[in-house]
Amino acid sequence: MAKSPKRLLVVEDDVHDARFVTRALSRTDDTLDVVHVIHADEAVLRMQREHFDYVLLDIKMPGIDGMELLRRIRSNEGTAVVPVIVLTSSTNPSDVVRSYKAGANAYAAKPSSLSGYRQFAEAFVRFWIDNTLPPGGAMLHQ
Amino acid sequence: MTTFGEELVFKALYETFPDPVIILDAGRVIRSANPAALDKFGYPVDAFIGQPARLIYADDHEYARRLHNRAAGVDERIARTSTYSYIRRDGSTFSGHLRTTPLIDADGKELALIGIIRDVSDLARAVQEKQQASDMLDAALDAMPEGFAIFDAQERLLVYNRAYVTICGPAGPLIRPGITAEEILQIAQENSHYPDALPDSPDWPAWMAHRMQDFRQPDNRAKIYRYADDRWLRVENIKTKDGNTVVLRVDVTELKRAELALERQRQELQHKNEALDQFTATVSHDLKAPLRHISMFSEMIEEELAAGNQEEVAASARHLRESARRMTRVIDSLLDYAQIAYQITAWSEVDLDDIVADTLGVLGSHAREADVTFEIAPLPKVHGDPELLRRLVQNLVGNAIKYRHPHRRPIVRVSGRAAGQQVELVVEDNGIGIDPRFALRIFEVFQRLHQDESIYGGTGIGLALAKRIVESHNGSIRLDTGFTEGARFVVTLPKRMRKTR
Repeated sequence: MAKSPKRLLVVEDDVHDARFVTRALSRTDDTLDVVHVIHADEAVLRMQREHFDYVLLDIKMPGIDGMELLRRIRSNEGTAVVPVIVLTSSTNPSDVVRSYKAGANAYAAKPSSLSGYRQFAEAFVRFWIDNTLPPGGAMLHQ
Repeated sequence: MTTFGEELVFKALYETFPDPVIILDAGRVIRSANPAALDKFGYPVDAFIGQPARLIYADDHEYARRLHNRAAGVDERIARTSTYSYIRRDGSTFSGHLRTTPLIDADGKELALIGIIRDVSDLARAVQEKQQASDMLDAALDAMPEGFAIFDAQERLLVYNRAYVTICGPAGPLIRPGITAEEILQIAQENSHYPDALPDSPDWPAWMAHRMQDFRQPDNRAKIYRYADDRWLRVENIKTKDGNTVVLRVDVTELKRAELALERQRQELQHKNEALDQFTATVSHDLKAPLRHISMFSEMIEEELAAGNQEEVAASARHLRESARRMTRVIDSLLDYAQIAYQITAWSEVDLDDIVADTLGVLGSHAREADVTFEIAPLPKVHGDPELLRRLVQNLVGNAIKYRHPHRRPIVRVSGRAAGQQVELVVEDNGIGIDPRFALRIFEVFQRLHQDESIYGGTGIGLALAKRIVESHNGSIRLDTGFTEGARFVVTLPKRMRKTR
């Protein structure tokens, strides 16, 4: 059976950062379907209507911030188990703790180099794409 | 039986009577005196008999008093009304209680007056000492700044001092011995003496019950209550062994005010610390982002150059420059913000009308471009720094123009009014409005609600700056979330600046 493309929602208000991460991810895995939204409200709408396998989330955003969005994702039955990876510029330990408490599956600081983004993309694809079991226990690779 | 002569008996009685007995004739001359009298006054018989009665009185005043009392017929049975100062031959004096009996002849004419003088010096001294002690105690009690009173077992007032009367407020004029503790409390309560138990508050019965409970069964712990005129009193009730209740009222207003001021300062400090934490977090985020982008784009240029990708190089170079410019703007905003730092020195009377007129002048071309209609109402005067207030109004009006609705002709209204000691300035627009959820966050540094800087440019410092200016004037600014046509900001400033900061 053909591998169905995995869908990733990138919630990021900074267009440059969004471009960096999207670029690195597509170069690492060109089957990945990356959707970028710049506003948390938009992310909520998209997640109600569409299926996403993963969410990449910035914390500090205008309007509803990432932490609030993460809580909403976790409290919504349809999205409660979607893996959420927090990718943010903050390296403040309290932000790390708060993210995990709100239900983040992983936390990473935004890289400031191309190789940094490459490493992040590779780690993401290896760990999350290759290892995640979808809810219900169905195997990813048949 | 004639051997038992009554005369002899009377003579013996007269001779041996322990108190001085003196008989005066109608001319107030001493005609007879018993041995006790001679002994008491220290005269031999011939130096005493035949002398006028004035001889035994200490001075003319005392004698005049005696004559007056006799004419007035005072009750001589009571020591208080018939005691005189008498003098002995040696000049020493003593207090004597005088009781007299006139001898009247058949025609009703007074022949003589028999007087008995009992030495009451010891008694008088005791009474006087007691009175002195009591006066001293009263004076001390009245001089006490603390309110002091004693109630008996039936809760009736026995003793109280002047401070207690003052503390009872509206009940003060009715304070007298016999009034009950509950009556005093009720009168004061009905006349709004207790801010926590005002007559129109539903809580007063519970409050009164609590006060009476503390009077009837005091737990020996002082309590602090709020009284009228913003006073605070420490109330202490003490039950004594004999069933009385001693009540103490100490005015602790100054102490309480200091305590409240301290608590306010603590909260203010906590608030400032939190604001500082938030500030550093945001600043580091907003400075790190362009730095990271600069680093990224320079690396990408390198990569694209190696790949011979000329077009991409130009785009990356442009992004790099933009990032550097953005960083400059952030730093400039920060400096702007930091410079306000409560450095207000130029206090003066500021006419907000002038400030708004200036602002419209400055924003003129911008406003014309956006085709803005201004509706400016007359504005009050306020005490403040004209330069800072100008920046405040510029920020608010500038925002109103900036966040205009794409499909509506922009209208900006500025109005104001003086309300008591405060001045209110309202800036409202019919623009895109602000989500009420972010009513507080918009005043934080670098909080932007709109991602796209190309439409709504700026670093997100404007409202933080506005807030800081308002706070440096001891005022407040808020978003009126009830206003839905657009955004409405309400600034409240004190009319006069408090001197203490």
